Amino acid sequence: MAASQQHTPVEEEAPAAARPGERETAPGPAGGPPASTKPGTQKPGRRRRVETTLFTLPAFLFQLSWGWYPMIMAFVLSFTDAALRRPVQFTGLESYQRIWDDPLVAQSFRVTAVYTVLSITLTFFIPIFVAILLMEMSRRHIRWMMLLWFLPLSGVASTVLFRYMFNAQYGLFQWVATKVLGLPPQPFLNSADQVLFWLVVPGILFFGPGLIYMATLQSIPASYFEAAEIEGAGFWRKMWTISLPRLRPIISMLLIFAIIGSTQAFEFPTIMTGAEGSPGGAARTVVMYLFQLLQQLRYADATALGVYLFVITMTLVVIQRRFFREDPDT
Amino acid sequence: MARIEVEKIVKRYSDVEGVGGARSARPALDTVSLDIADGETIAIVGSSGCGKSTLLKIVAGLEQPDEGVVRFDGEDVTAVRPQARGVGMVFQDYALYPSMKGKGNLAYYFQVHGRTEEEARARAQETADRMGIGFEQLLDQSTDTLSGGQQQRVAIARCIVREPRLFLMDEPICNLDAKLRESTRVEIRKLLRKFGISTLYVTHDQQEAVFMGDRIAVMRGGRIEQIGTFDELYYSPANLFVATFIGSPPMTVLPAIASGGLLTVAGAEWPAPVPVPDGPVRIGIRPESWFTGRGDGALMTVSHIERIPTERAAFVHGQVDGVPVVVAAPLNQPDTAELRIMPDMGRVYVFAADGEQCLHTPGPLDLF
Amino acid sequence: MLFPRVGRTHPALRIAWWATVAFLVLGITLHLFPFYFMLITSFKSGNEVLSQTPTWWPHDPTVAGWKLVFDIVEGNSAAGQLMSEPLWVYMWNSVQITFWTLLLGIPITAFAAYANSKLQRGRMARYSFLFFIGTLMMPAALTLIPSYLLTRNWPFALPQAPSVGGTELPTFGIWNTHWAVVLPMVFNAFNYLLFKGFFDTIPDSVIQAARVDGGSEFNIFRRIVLPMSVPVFAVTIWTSFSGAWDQFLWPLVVMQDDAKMPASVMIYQLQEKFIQAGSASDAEAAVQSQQLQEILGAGMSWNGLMVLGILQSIPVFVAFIVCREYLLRGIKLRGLK
Repeated sequence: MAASQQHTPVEEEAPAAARPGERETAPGPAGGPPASTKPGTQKPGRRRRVETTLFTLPAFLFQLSWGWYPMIMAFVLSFTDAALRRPVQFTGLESYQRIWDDPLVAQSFRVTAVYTVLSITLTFFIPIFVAILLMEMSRRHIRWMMLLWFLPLSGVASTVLFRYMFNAQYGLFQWVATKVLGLPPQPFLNSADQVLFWLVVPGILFFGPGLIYMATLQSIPASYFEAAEIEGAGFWRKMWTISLPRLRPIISMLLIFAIIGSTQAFEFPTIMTGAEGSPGGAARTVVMYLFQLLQQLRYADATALGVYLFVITMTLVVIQRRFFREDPDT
Repeated sequence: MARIEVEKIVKRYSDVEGVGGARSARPALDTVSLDIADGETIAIVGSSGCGKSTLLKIVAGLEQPDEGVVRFDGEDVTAVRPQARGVGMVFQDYALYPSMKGKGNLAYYFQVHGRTEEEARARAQETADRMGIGFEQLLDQSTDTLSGGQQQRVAIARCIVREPRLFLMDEPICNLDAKLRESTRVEIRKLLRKFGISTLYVTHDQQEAVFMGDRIAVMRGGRIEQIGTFDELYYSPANLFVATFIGSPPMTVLPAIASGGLLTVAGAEWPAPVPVPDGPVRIGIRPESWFTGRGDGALMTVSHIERIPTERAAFVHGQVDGVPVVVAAPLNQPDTAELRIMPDMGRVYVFAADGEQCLHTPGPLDLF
Repeated sequence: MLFPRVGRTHPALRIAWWATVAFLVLGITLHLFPFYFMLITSFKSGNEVLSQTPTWWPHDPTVAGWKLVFDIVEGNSAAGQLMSEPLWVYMWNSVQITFWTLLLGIPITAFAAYANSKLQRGRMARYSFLFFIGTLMMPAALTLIPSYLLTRNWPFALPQAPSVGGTELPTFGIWNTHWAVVLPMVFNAFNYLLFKGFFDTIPDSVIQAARVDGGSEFNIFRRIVLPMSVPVFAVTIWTSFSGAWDQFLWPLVVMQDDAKMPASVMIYQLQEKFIQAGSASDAEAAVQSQQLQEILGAGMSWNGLMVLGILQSIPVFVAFIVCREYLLRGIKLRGLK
């Protein structure tokens, strides 16, 4: 009865009035629950609607006031001067113009673009592969291997650690570069050319969404793989025709999150390279610049910059949704 | 302990996708009416998607009908919530509360109704006695350690512990394996007899329906095609659908030409059982109504013979003029490639050539 | 399942299998190395930390770093003066922020997701779902400034409350309080998605059975659904916990008093001071304040920061290990549809 899984909103307006003549029948004999003759029994649909509202209302208020309202106000503010100490005035596209002409903005968008491309290519696909391989282990081994693979490190702690390891004089990476690989001393985070690459590298080691992939893989019925095996499919073919298509909705969703996340990279670059994104703004992402504007109290310019970033991010997301359908069957 | 009337129920679901979707053209239930007498068991049978579960949920109070009225003992309960209707329901997947032991499942009703702990315990004890030997130890187990059959027994106990006015059973035994299904079926029937509680029993298996139901309702596409005892459905079907749906193996339906009191079927001419207007018709013959080895019969090409020793019969499967035919024959029916068969003309059903209209039914068999 | 069960003794398969195992073990080693390195660094002496050739275990084990950090905890030595408050104050702030975020956020999000999954139907359910997850697709950078203004002048996301007839409308400023950090995090759209995915897998018939039994919707949620949903609660508590515990940018934006900051922010600020002063050499440090010189003289540099990092990570570890049994069972996502 698949049809009964999705329902219409319950229609209470159905004619429920009983004919008066048929009302006088005596209630059921003893033993039957007495409640049915209670006056004022509410219609089931309406009662459920009250409960639905109670369940939803708190989240609705929070989502409205801290989710959608600031979102809409961001667009509104970007068309004003967002001035302090006097009423806000609409200024049209002035902020957008100012941001457009700002050379630092162009630089920050270039930085963000490179960072996004690097971060997606280097960190997005490995966890998928790792999760697929981890599921090959025996049940007993999966438990502890999973624990070790996905053991998390506090974000702040990892930045402390990586700043130490990236130190150009006594950092571990410098030692590997000069003593193990025999290269000349590398500047790492101090080089405008290398800094973005090294910012992405720690992400390779910390595989957040791997657990989500594993949970999804685990829900694939074994019969799919057995059927494929009887057809004669090998390792790669099974991965390509069963594991990946089943993961597709999840991959698609997490790819969107990864795109959104890396286009607004802020915390890690800030901690690793300072608020200015040194050297010379080579690591200053759009959001880091936006934060600088905020600190200078240039609210209108900052929101205009946010809108620019939003438009670009949404374009990427729309492109992604077009080319990467979530439906596992297509 | 209640008389249930379901009157002209209409229920529509919107399209699955929801957003902006118009209501689907065909309602899930289309003007369904049904009466359940006090203590009677009605089995609803139909293929999946015919609306039988929806009907059950409307009677239970889990769904609001778009139109129509449900009455318990003459009292309109269409807008009454399920807990106030005093029904007990057994679900296809048993729907036991997985976080509770068997006992907790039985006690939940009493807890949410503000009854005392003692009453709940006493009633659970009483129910355990009624459910028979070995039931009590199920109550102390967590439900996910129970086998399918045990879960099903707990589900039934949960349903009767509150002494409901009406039992609702939604394919309660279809998830059990064949052997267990057989014995559980008998057990449920015994329980229903013992309690004498009105019951609505939904199934897709017509044999189960025949076994469980005092009366059987055949549903298709949101409508009840016919309600009646098995004999009524079997010997006096309302239309071609009911005629072919009830009975296993199914009735054979052959095209025929009527002219002057004679029916011409696949080259053979047989006298019509009743006066039939000249022109094309269809005739239906049940497997047991065929005579074999008669010279004036139609020629049947035999594909295989299925022998059923317990019933002392063999079913001969084959074709007449390309139409599949099943013939009941004695167990010692020899293997032959071809067979001459002829219907017992007194037991032939006649249907219109188009549509499902029934022109003649043989009526109940005179057994004694 | 990609490797066949039968015929594993075939040489090619055997090689492939061991290659897979080797790859996974190598990955685990690489992943665990930072943890190990952090731990040993915390026990190294000040000079060993700054040596050009890294050592793989502390040659000269010392608890100087730990001792100094505990001085900071008490806030009474020279090192303690680095922070305006003792460390435990910041830790306590982190605990409070995390506690309220979880206490408010998990039930509120779970209720909404449950209502969407089991109570709402058809069009209403669809719109409600989009309303709740819609913000997941929107970049947070866009809302940074309005949200900040909102904490200053709630309910107006404006630099200043508007005036009506010459009088400024009253506002509630939650800026510079813990509520400014907690409230925006209460509803978590990703947790909503996790809850919704999980509740969707609970059969409707169980809920219907409970309705026939007469439970109110809230009672059904508490007695029937909640015990079934322990895995998803573990997952969401884990994600919320690490998010709230480790957040850094937002507290920095909406709070001003050092005494109210969570530990993550203070560790960052301490690190900044060290990097400017003590990272290079003692000579450079001499130029810096007397205070830092004293600390470096006492043998603390990166080793002390590692201790702070470890302290900051411990709750995250504990939460992960406590929830690990449920993580795989609790995630039942089906994408954004």
